[in-house]
Formats: sequence, C-alpha cells, structure tokens
Amino acid sequence: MKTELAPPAGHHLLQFYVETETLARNVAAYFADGLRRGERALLVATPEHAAAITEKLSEKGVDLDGFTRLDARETLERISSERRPDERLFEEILGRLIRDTIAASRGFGLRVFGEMVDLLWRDGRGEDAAALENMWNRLLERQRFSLYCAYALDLFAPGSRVPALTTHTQLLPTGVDGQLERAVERAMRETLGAEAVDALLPLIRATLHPRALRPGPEATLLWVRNHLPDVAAEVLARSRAGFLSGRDAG
Amino acid sequence: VGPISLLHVEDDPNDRLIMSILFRKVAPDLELKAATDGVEAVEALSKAPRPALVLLDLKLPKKNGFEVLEWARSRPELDALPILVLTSSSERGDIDRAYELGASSYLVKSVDMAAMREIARGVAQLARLREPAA
Repeated sequence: MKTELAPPAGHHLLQFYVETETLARNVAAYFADGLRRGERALLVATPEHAAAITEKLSEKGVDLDGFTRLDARETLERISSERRPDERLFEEILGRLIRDTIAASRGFGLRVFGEMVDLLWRDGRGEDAAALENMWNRLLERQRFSLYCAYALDLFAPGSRVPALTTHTQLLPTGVDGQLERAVERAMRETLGAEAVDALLPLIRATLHPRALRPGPEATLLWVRNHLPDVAAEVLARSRAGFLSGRDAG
Repeated sequence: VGPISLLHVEDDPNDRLIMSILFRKVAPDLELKAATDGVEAVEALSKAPRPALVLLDLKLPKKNGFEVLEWARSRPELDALPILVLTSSSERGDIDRAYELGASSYLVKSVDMAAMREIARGVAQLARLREPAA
C-alpha cells in the first residue's frame, strides 16, 4: 500500500482495514519513516495490534528509542468519565503526554497512531467516537503532530457503516498501482453495463467529496454504496473478488 | 406509471433553462420538474409522487439549501432519497456542511457546457438505475 509517509503536522489520516497484517504493515511504515527522521512515535493500540506493529518495526531495524506504547482500551477508560470520553481528562492525560513528547523530540515532531475511536465505533458508540475524533482535532490544532487512526471496516461489505469522513484530512488508499480502481470499474461494468457506467463515471469524478476522501476507487465504492443500494452488494462483491485476485497475482 | 421525474431546485432562471435544455437532449425519457426556492422544494417533496432524485442549489431564497437538506433528512420517508447538491460554491466549509446534513453528492456548476452535459447524463442514468420499474 502506498502510505503517505510524511504527513505534515496537523494531518489526521484515516485507514479502513480488514486484516491486521495490512494495518500493521502500514502503521509500521508510517512510524519507521518518522523515527528515522528523528521524530517520536506514540502508539495507542490494542495489545494484538501493538504486538504486530512492534514486530514489523523491529523487522525494519528501526531504533525504537523514541517509541511509546499505550493500551487503547486502558487509555480510553482513563480519559472517560461515566463511560464517555471526557475532554478534560483527555487533555490532562493525552494532551499532556503529547505536549511533553513533542518537547522531548527537540523540534523533530511526533506521529501518533490511535484506535480508541475504533473501539468505540465497534461497540456501537458512534457519537462517542465522533466526540473523541473532535477532541483529537482540537489537539491537532494546538500541538505539532500528525494522527493516523484506523477503523476495522470492510469497504466491500454493503451493510457496514462508514464513520464521518469530514473529521479527517485523508483516507489512505487500499490498493497499490491502480489494482482497486481496475477491480471497481470492471465490477461496475459487469453489474451495470458499459453504457450506464460510461454515464456514471464522469458524474462520480465530478463529485467533490468529504474532506478526507480523494477521488479514486474508495470514493467510487462509497458512491455506489450510497447512491445505488440495490446493486451495491453485487458491485462490492465483484470488486472484492477482482481486487483480491489481482493482489494475490501481484 | 408516469415517467421518472427529477426535481431541480434552483432560483436562477438561466441555470434552470440550461439544465432543462441539457436534460431534454440527454434524457428525453425523464421529466425535470423545477422549484425556484426552498419553500417550493419542501412543498414538492411533501407530496406524492416523489422525484427519483433531487438536484439542490444551496443559495436559495426563503429557505436555503442547507435548511432543505436538514428538513428532508429529518423525514424518514425521504431518508433514502438521493439529494445531489449542485451549487456554484466550492468552499470546503459548504462541502463539509452539506455532507454533514445528509447530502448524497456535492457537485459544482460549471461554465463549461460539456461538463454540465456530463453531469446531466450521469444524473439521468442514476435516476434510471434508482427507479428501473418506472
């Protein structure tokens, strides 16, 4: 996957993933690039993901001196009051840690990966997840760091809910070298017919998307899910099959 | 069963005229209805038969496009109705606000007639796919 390796401070990246392997590879690439530049890295993840990411970082031979790990569930409890994220506690605990870590980086900066919002999302607590995203965004406005968050979400599953894209600055791409784009377009042609797709694609390309979404296959998939729910399941299933066979062949 | 209809909510008579010419050309099988302000849009959406989709300008008299969106998404019967914003604004704040209020898509008007024809062609195709039985 082509990860934006050097997101400017203030950027709030978003990744949808299905496999831990993919997530670990991408987060490790994001951290490894920063650590090699002298930046600090803060990981707020589940134990399973923390182990997979640390393993990948270790394989890359990166010096882990500037790397801090927090347990996502435990941290979420610490910043919550009456089971809901509390901005005062968020500031006291994470805000302070981030400020201190940035100061210790001697001007190099900080990259953060967090999945507390995903824990809330998976628990069906969408409002709390959105509130926590906004707390992160307010902190991003005041402190010099970038944030990468991930949701365990299968874009190819028609029933899966999609979190608010307006609270992020960029949705990271799923495929490499146009794999997903080719799979999605072929799936649309097989399902809807060439004439319909030739009419729809310029409309989809003319669409201005929510902040995090760039024109591309992810945007097209989300467009199909939102606008054509009756055929979305078939397009998504064909896209998944085409994407996976292209990826495995590659 | 009548023809598939679309509702174009637009206060500028020139923009309404251009869209009606384009639709007659690319989708003569569809019926393009017009509302000239937000209140007319709400009235049109309050009664049956409802359009297959709505093209909605944002800067409208009486009730602006954001208010129309907010009203429509508060009505369960309009929850699944595609509402495509078609406006002259490409301000990031307007785009995000429209999506937060439930816009299905956000499109910017173009002075390039070929680009507008492509939009009309895509919108017509979307309407036909949404209501294949009509």
